[in-house]
Amino acid sequence: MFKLFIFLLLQASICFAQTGPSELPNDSIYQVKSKWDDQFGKKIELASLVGKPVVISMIYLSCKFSCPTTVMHMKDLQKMLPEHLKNEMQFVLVSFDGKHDTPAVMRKYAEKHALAFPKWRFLTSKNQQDVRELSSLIDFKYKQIGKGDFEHSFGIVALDERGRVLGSTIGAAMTEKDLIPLFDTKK
Amino acid sequence: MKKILALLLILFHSAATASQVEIKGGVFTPLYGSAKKTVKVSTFSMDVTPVTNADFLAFVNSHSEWRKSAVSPIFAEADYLRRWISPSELGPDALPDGPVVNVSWFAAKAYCESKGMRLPTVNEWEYVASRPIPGVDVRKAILDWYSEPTPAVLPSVNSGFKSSNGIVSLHGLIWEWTLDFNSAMVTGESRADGSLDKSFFCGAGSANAADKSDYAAFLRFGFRSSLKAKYTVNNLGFRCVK
Repeated sequence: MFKLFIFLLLQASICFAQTGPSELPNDSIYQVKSKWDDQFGKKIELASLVGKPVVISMIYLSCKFSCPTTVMHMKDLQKMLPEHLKNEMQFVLVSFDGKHDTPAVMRKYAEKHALAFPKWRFLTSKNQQDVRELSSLIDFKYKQIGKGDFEHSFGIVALDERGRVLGSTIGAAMTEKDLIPLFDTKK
Repeated sequence: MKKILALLLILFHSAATASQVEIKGGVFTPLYGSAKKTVKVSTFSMDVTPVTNADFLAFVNSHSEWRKSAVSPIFAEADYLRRWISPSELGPDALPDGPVVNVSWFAAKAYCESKGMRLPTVNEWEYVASRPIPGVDVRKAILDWYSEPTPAVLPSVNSGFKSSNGIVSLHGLIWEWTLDFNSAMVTGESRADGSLDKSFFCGAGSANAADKSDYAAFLRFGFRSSLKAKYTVNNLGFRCVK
């Protein structure tokens, strides 16, 4: 029993060492301390994404026009990825409509668009300050216009395995294809 | 001497950690809204004055990640807390009861959260700003102030205009961060133009304004939309709401 306890303690400390904020480079966006709800209603921190390269974007799920296109662009990128990145890559969709996009809504959306966990992750938060913070870090703008509708930037952002921004298609400076070589440049 | 200084500091500090005023909810027309519609603002409490240097010093002392020497470059530019003489001392250019400036949005957010509060939304801020100031032609006074250069040493947080609802220095001292500062003037074109830079400079944007003569508000919306969350501007501070 005691041995098990020590074992668990060791495991816990290893986990912590791997994802602890102190380990993060000082330009990592995973330094934020905000907590997010995933599609299973589990609270997670962005730092839990450490270890894998990430493609991230922000959307709202009742959106009819540009958001499905965002998902399509992410899927296109997924198809274009070379073998060594294909398995690794994590796709993260963050909803800025935490009020309507509950875990159940996120799961339904994932199912409808065949975005299976754990490759695809959905996150949201009811804390508008935290959503605004993340959006500011990836240079993504949004504004609520009327009930449940938003105007927002459009594009996807590439992060390295420790949460540093590698590049982005927001503002149409790059296309999805241009992001791929960035994952292989070591900072 | 030291004791007197310490006492003064405490006095300044307690004067500066002024309480909040309840702002009764209501309806108003912001300069930019959804098709000039009125906006409903719920009742909330707002700090009477902007956050002071002394308040912010106490915060960085207990939250070392926000010290000038430790802060991450993605959360604050190099000018962060530039008026302070060291990461833990204010010095002659930063009065204890003067407003803290050269703070990023991220730092302001973290400060308010540490007090169990948050930054005001643009609508909340503008709603309070639309209240009359006794004996003052608000718009003219604000424009006069906007045209003045920022002094080398900012005076006390109590030195700005006092609104009829008890809020002090919303105008006449510094600019202030808002929670959703970067959502101002987002246009319908935003889906095609992610960075939205065009809309910041396009004069046609004013065609949507509710009151074209409110030049002071134009300046504020223009200023806000030119900001990025890590910017640390010389005359930009903040206050918190609950």
